[in-house]
Amino acid sequence: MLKKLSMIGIGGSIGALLRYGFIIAYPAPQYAFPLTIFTENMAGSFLLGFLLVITANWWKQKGLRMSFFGTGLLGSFTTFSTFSLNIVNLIDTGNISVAVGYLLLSTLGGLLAAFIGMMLAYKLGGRP
Amino acid sequence: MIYLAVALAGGMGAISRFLMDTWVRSLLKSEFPWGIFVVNISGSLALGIVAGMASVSGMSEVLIIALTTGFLGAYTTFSGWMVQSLQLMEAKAWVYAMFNIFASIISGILATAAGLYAVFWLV
Repeated sequence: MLKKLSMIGIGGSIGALLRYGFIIAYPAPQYAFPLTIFTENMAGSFLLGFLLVITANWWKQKGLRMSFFGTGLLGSFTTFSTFSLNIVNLIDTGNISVAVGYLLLSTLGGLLAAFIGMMLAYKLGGRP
Repeated sequence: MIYLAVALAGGMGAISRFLMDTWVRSLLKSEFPWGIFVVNISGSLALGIVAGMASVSGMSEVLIIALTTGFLGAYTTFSGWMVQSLQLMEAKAWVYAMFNIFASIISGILATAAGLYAVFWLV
């Protein structure tokens, strides 16, 4: 359990640092479409979908790797709370169409990204 | 300094997510992913509160970034929410999948707004 928690902690630290690094490198203009967080959430959903299939099918010792890469790194790299706050801020400042577009693109895009990630992993590794 | 704060807070956020998820699932024992649901909504509420406090009080930048981008950013998860919704669809649990998608969005937005405006109202 302690091993698992430390894997999640280290992965979570790296994921948060990466997310923060991209926000610093590509700061989104205030009250515009939050492109950096959007891109991070899409990339993370794609990778988690991919990871889930390859861990289930290819890897031995699934638990610890999933804790590090999945629960830790990708769970932490993507964020739901900032997504919610972005929408509230956009609505608050009257940018309703940007808020709705961001919400729809994030949700549909995230589902699609995770789906493509899973399908790609199945294609590369074959179904179990 | 700020990177160290993000790393530490991010690690703690991820561990807190795992513990909360595990605890909620052991309480409710449902096929519906209540664990991540509770994590995301509680994290959204907390981010609203912290964002409100940051704008009305003189919190240091390091503390704000550590709490928002570090801890709460890592505590809540977008990819986990999406993948679990997809898994519900894969299992043909359509009602659960749709509920997970729509209820998360609506409650997340309402929770953040509630946290934010509660602070503005109180201060």
